[in-house]
Amino acid sequence: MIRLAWRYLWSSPLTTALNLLLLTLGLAAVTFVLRASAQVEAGLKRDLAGIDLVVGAKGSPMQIMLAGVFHLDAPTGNIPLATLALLKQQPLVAQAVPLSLGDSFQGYRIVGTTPEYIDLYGGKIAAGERWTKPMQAVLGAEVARTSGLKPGDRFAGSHGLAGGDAHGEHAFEVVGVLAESGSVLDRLVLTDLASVWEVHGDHHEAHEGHDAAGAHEDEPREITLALVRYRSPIAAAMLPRWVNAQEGLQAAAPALETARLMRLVGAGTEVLRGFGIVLLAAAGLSVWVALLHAVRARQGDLAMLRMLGAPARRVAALIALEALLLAGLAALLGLAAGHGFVALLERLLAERQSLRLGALGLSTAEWLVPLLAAGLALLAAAWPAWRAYRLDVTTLLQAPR
Amino acid sequence: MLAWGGLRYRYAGGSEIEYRDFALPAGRHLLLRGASGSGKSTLLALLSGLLRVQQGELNVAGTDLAGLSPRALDAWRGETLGVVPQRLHLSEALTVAENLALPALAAGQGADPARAAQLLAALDIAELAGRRPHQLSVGQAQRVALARALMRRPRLLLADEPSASLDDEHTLHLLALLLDAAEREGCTLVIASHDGRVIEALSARHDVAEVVLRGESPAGRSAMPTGSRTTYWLDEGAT
Repeated sequence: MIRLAWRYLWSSPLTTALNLLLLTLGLAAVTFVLRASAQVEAGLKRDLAGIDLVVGAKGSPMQIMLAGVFHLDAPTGNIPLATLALLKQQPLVAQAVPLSLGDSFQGYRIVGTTPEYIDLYGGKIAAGERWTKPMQAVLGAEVARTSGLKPGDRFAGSHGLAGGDAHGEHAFEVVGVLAESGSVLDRLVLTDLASVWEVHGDHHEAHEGHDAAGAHEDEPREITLALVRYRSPIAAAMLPRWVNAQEGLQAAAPALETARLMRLVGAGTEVLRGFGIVLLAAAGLSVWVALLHAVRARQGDLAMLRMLGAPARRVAALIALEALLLAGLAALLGLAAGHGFVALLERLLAERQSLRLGALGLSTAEWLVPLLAAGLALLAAAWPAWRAYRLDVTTLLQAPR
Repeated sequence: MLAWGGLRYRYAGGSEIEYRDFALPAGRHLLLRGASGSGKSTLLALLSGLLRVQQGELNVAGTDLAGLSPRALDAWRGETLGVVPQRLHLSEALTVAENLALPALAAGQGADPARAAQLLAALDIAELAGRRPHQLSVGQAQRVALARALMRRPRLLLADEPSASLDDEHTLHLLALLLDAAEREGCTLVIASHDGRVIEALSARHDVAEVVLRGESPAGRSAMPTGSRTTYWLDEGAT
């Protein structure tokens, strides 16, 4: 029966190809939306790593969150190192991790911090060890892979987050490489807070007016951001308000900002999803018309099948099977195309050293795609199959040639 | 092999047709004659189990069709009946060999390529197995349709107006093919026709009984025998 349905399906190759294309595009759009939104959300959650609050210089909370958690934007400025101690003194704060930004290496950000930052993401050392003193660096897995650096090698950072003058006189020594974690750690160069001060202490001498996380020996130390974990959920209501009340400080709650970001991204997702649904509706209608036409064109064949002993339900099932085969093929192609689009997006993001998306494999929601295709096929086939079920065999077989 | 008694059929409009009792003697084939509207189509549909027997008895190949459910009738038709319809209805989407697999597929069974090859060889069309129906001549298509009808070794081979659209030579050739096939396969041949050429050709054979259906169906009412050849007809106005 399957072979027969397959042959009947391709007896009108142009119509079948058009229906296949429409169904595939619709399902690919749905797959892309399901996969991309799930992956982006998972990627964001992975990078949040339990960070409840980011504290930075006064400015946009979204910018602070993007700079501090995802390392996607420039920070709003620097804050005094003393802020870190102040935050740690707060009873509602369980942990406060400092970040000093300002330099990069081959487009990857150099982050001055403490080893706690690695622990925040559950990072593991794959080769070498953690830094123990300034000007030692631990590379994220992606940085090590693309730069080819390994423990014992030396490199110089560039001034600024997008690459600028090289700090050739301040070379970092690679002491460790992190294992791949799929988080933001993969695309960072981690070093001691003091490394950033050291680099920029000298740099300031040559470049007055520099606003990065460095400071002169005689000036108060600065950091760029502080990542905070709450001791208690009550902190969510109190701590941001307290931070914002401090002069020069701005609190950004990643959960809130991420939700806001997802709402912004969500508008695009909805448009794409709507486009997919319109495509699917058009495909369903097209399949319906094609099947109706097929039943009319092939009613003699179907009547003959009845005469050869096929029960009416088997003849109706043949029509449904045709639709299901088409849907099955479209689901496979749609899933493949959807994954292909996500892979393209992933490549695009990787080139921009942005958010990491997930690997291959079907996510739970994607099982909806074949189900959606099958449901649509059965809906489109219902009336044509009923017509096939009700064929007037006697009349059809006696019709003159 | 084939018998009916008290057989009546009531149409949706309320009119009714009645067939006089009949039994086909063993070892004989049947020519069913009747013009359009004579009730021939209804009788063929009843014989092939496409219409259910409403009243009376209809026994085909030892099975009382009146007692079968629609589902059982479908299965019975596939197992017992081979049909060469007026329009051949060879599927254009399939090759000749695949068309011959349809009877098994219709019954939900696997194809029997050996049987198909045997029949194609017996009908001298073995080389056509891979062709599509539109690549066949009328005569070749008739043979393929006959092979398809014989695939499941039917006990009754039913040909409905087989000579329609055939010239004289092809008509005689086809009749010979049908009779030969029926003899070879050991099945009873039922030919429904109102073609004078068919009637003339079969009238000369003593192994062919004849039923004549007369009268305007559904007004026609009965059938009765005449002469040495078993000829039946529907009397106009009889009840």
